[in-house]
Amino acid sequence: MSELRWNPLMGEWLATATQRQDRTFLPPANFCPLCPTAPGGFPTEIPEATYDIVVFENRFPSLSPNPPAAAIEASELYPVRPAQGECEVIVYTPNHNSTLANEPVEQIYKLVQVWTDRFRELSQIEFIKYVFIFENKGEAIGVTLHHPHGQIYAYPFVPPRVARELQQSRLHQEKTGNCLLCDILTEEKNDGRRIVTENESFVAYIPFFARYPYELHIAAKRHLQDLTQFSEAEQLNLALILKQTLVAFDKLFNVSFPYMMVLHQQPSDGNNYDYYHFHLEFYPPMRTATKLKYLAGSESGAGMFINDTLAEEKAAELRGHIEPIVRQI
Amino acid sequence: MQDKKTKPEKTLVGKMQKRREKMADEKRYIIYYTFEKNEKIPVKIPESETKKDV
Repeated sequence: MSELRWNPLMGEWLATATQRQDRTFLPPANFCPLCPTAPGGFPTEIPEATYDIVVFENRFPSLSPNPPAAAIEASELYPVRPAQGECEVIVYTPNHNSTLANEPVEQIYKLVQVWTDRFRELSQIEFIKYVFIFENKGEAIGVTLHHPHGQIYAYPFVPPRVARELQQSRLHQEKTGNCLLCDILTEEKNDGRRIVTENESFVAYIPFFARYPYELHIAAKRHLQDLTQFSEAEQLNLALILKQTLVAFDKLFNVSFPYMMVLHQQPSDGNNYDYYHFHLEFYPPMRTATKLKYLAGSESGAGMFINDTLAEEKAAELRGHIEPIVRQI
Repeated sequence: MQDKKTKPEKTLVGKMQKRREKMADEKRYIIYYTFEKNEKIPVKIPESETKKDV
């Protein structure tokens, strides 16, 4: 059963996807469905081993291109629609035991190119209005497969958190004539205390308004709306700053650091979003080496996050683990 | 859509090629991405040495 149900209290859609209850859950490494099928081994999702990166349709999707009709009747108060969209899995490497932080920068650069290709292709589908690229990493986040991978949800609407960012960006531009994220970058750079690292094309920082102790944002210095507008140098610089920050994350507590990583790009609904600005956001759940940040009453019930730390101090801590990248050309 | 090969695009890691096939269930698609070059990009980068998962 899969359908979209309207929440009139919040003015937003949610998906039901009951088939996901039966999805593969933390299988042993020799039964990983994201590893290439071994000769004589059990058939995985990926029959071939000769690839750099693989993308395939999720076996347990929340959204699908040809969804069944909604199983429950709609009403005026409760609109219902088929859960139409795309859910893809991006397998970063054939190596089961790797992580994005452990991959060489060449592989991360290839991933940026695959992200770009997926964004471009999925954006052209008529019923797709927003292409959302993300990674859930670590059991603390709730991953069900350890093999390094990310996901793409291509929604038939602009999801609410992005819609709110778009609205705030539009209002800021109407009020000041400026891009909101460009102004945030200027403010962060002028202050400097929350900057973690930067290169010619990107700035990584823990924002003034961070909700999680190690919430890191990476924003393009150039005012760009999506990956397809990046130059080759910007693609490489995104890979470099990702490598640098992911390694710093792992060094914080000497563990493979869990996180949610999300890419915020402009919608694919044909409207003009020149006022919007591409960026990535990381939401790591760890607040110390042994404690997690939980979304409890205030966060879940009221929508107000309480951050037990100061962004300025956490940025300094993370900055201490940043190692310089030396260009050898 | 099956066995569709696209025109390669030139990049710093060589030309990206993608091959799209149907999966074993004959319903879903899978896309294999390959790149021409596996040369090191000439930068010295930090390495992650952690293994312990959380």
